[in-house]
Amino acid sequence: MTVWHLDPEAIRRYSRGVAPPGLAASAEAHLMKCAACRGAISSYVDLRRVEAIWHEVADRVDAPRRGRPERLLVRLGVGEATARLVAATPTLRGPWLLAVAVVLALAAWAAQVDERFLRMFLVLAPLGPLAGVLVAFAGGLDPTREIGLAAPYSGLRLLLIRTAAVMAVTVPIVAAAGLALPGSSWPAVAWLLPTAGLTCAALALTARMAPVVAVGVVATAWVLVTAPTAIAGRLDPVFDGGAQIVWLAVAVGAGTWLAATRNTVTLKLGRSA
Amino acid sequence: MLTRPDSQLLAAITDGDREAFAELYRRHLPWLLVRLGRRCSSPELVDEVVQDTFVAVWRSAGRWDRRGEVAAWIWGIGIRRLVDALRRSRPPADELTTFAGVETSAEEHVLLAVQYGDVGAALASLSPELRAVVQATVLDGLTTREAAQLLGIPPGTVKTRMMRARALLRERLA
Amino acid sequence: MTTVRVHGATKSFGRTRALDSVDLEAGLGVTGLLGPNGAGKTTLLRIIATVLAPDRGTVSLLGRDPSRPDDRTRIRERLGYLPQDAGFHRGFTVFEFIDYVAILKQMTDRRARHDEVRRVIALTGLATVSAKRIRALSGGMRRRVGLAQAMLGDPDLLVLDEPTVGLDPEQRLRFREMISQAGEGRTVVLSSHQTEDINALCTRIAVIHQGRARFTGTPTELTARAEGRVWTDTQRSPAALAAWRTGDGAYRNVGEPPAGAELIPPTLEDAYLLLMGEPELEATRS
Repeated sequence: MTVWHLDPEAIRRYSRGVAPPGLAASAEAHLMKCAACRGAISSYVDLRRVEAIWHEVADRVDAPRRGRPERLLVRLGVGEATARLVAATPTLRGPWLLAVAVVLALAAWAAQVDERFLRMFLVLAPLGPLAGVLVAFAGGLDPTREIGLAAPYSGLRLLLIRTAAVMAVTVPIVAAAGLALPGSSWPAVAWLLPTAGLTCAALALTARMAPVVAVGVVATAWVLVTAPTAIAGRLDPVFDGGAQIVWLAVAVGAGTWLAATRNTVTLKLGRSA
Repeated sequence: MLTRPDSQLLAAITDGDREAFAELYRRHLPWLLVRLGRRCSSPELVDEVVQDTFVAVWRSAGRWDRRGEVAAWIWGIGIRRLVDALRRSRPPADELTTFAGVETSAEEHVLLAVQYGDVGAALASLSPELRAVVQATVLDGLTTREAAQLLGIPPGTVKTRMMRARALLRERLA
Repeated sequence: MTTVRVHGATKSFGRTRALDSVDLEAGLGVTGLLGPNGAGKTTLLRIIATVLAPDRGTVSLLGRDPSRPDDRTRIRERLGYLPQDAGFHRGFTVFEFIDYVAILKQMTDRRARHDEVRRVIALTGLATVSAKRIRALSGGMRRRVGLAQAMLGDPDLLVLDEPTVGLDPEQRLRFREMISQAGEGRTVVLSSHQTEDINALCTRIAVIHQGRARFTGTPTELTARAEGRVWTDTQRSPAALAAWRTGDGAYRNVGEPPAGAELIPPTLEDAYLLLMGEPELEATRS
C-alpha cells in the first residue's frame, strides 16, 4: 500500500497561499502527520526570512538567564554588562546574607536586654558590610579570579562595583536590625558614616596590599579601638557628632587617594602566589 | 546517517541540546510560517509569533506530553501565540485573508471532490465567514473564545456561525 | 615580531625563589614550557599573562611593556589565558560563563558579544552543550570551555597552563588538535609536564626546572642532545641514569653507554630525562 502524499502542485499552491479552502484544509491536516511533505514546503520559504528569525530565536535562547536582582539593576539604568558582573558577585548568595542578618538580629535582640549589648551592636555593625567586601574578593570564593586578572576590564572598577553591590545589599539588613533597637533611633544610623569611612579606607589600602588583607587590617583596627571603649561604657568618641565628621573626612580622603593611585591597584590584585 | 525523529529531538532539547533545537527549527519553521501566514495578513506579526513559538518550544520542551505529533504540539503553541498577539494588536488591514480572493474553476471543483473527498467540496461551498469559523474551531483546535479572538468577532457570533456551518455541512454531506 | 620577550625574570614568594633569571622568547606558533611540577612554569606563565610582575627582569609582550598600566590594558585586550585550575561560577551554563568572561574582555555590545561567544563555542565544538551547566560536564568538556573563553576576541597571544592535564587519551588528542589549529597565525605559550604533548605541539620549547631555564630551542635540538646516549639491552644497565622495560621485553637505557652498547635513536623524553639528571628522575618518570 502506498502512502498518500500531497502532490508537488498542491504543495506549491498551498505554500504560495493560493490553494482553495478545501485543499488548504486537507493539506494542513496532512502536514500534521507527514514530515516529508513538511520538508517539501521549505523550498518555498524565503531563506533570508528563515535565517533572520533563527538569529532572533538563537539570541533569545542563548541569552543568559537574568535573576530578579539583575533585572532590577537594568531597569534602574545600570548597563546590562555591569549588571551581569554584579550578579556574579559571590556575596549576593542567600545563605551568607542570612548569616549576617541572624548575627545582627541577635545583637539587636540582646540590646533590648542590656545596654552593653547596644554598644556591641554598634561595634559589630560595620563588620557586616566589611565582611561582605572581604568575601567578594577572597580568591577562593571567586572561581574566575585568575581569568579576571588577565582581562582588560579595570580591576579597580570591578572592585568598586562589587563593593557597591555588597553595600547595597548588606547595609539595609544591618539598618533593619538597628531599627529594632530600643530607645532613640540614633544608634541605628550612627554606624553608617563609620562604615563608609572604613570601607573607603580598605579600598584605598588595596593600592598597597591585596583587598582581602586590606579589609582584614581595617576590620581588626576597628575592633581593637572600639571594643575596649564599648566595654568601658563610652562610645561617644567614636560615634558622636564630631566623630561623624571625622569619618566623613576619612571616606572622602580615602576615595581621593584611591582615584590617584588607581593604576597600581590593578597589578596588586594578583599578588598571591 | 540516521535522522532522529521529532520526539527524540525534543528529548534532547529538554537536555539543553542546541543542535537538536536547530534541527527541529529547520524542520518545522517552513510549514508554521505558511500556516500562520494564512491566518494573519501581517508578515511582521507572523515572524514575531513564530519567534516566540520556537523560544517557547526551547523552554518548555520537557512539557510535551509525548502523545501525538510534535508538529501538532508546536502548532498548538503557535496558534495560541497568534491569538494572543492579535488580541493585543490587530494589524490594520487584517481581513479574513485565508480564503479571500481564491477562485476555483469548475474542473478544480471536480478534482477537489475526487482527490479530497466530499468534505473538501462541502467545505469549499461554505461562505468565507463560516469556513473560517470551522477552520478555527475544528481544524486548529481552538476554543470558542480563542476562535473569537483570532477572527476578531464576538464569541456569540462564533457559536451561531458554527451552528449554521454544521447544519449546512450535514445537508451537503447527507 | 617576537611576541614574547622575557629577559632575566626573577620572582620570589617569601623565601621561595620561583624563578631565577629566566630568559624566554616566543613568536608565532606553539612554544612549550616543559618541566616537573613546581618548577616555576606557572609563575612564568602568569607573568606572561600579565597577572604577575617579576621582581626583577624585563618583559615585553606584543611589543609593549606590561609594567606600564596603559600598555598592560592594551596587552590584555589581545591576550587569552587558560589558568591551571580554571574555576567556574556555580550554576553558570557554558554560554553564560563565556559571556561573563567576554564582558571582562570589554565586549559591551550585547549583540556583538553574543555572536562572539557563539563563534568560540562553535570553534571548540561546544555547540551541543552550550545551554548546559558547566558543573554537569565532564572534565574534558570543561577544559574546552576554558579554551573557548581564552579564544574570545581572537587574541594574538594565548597562554595555556597545563591544558591537557587530567584528560583521557582521546580528549587529549582532540585538545591537541584544537591547540595546534589555534597556533596557526597566533602565538601560543603553554606548559606541560608531559613530553608527548610538547613533542606533538611545539615548535620551540624551554625546559624549566627549579626556577631556571635549563634549555631553550627546538624539540629536534633537545632530542639531539641525547644522541648516542640511549641504548637497548636485555637488562637494566648499571651505567644507566634511567632504564625501563619496553613492550617487546628489552630494556631502554638512558645515560652514558658502555663500550659496544647497541645504540638506538633518542626521543625527546630521553633528552628531557638526561637534562633533569639523576635526583629528579623518579619524580618526573610518570
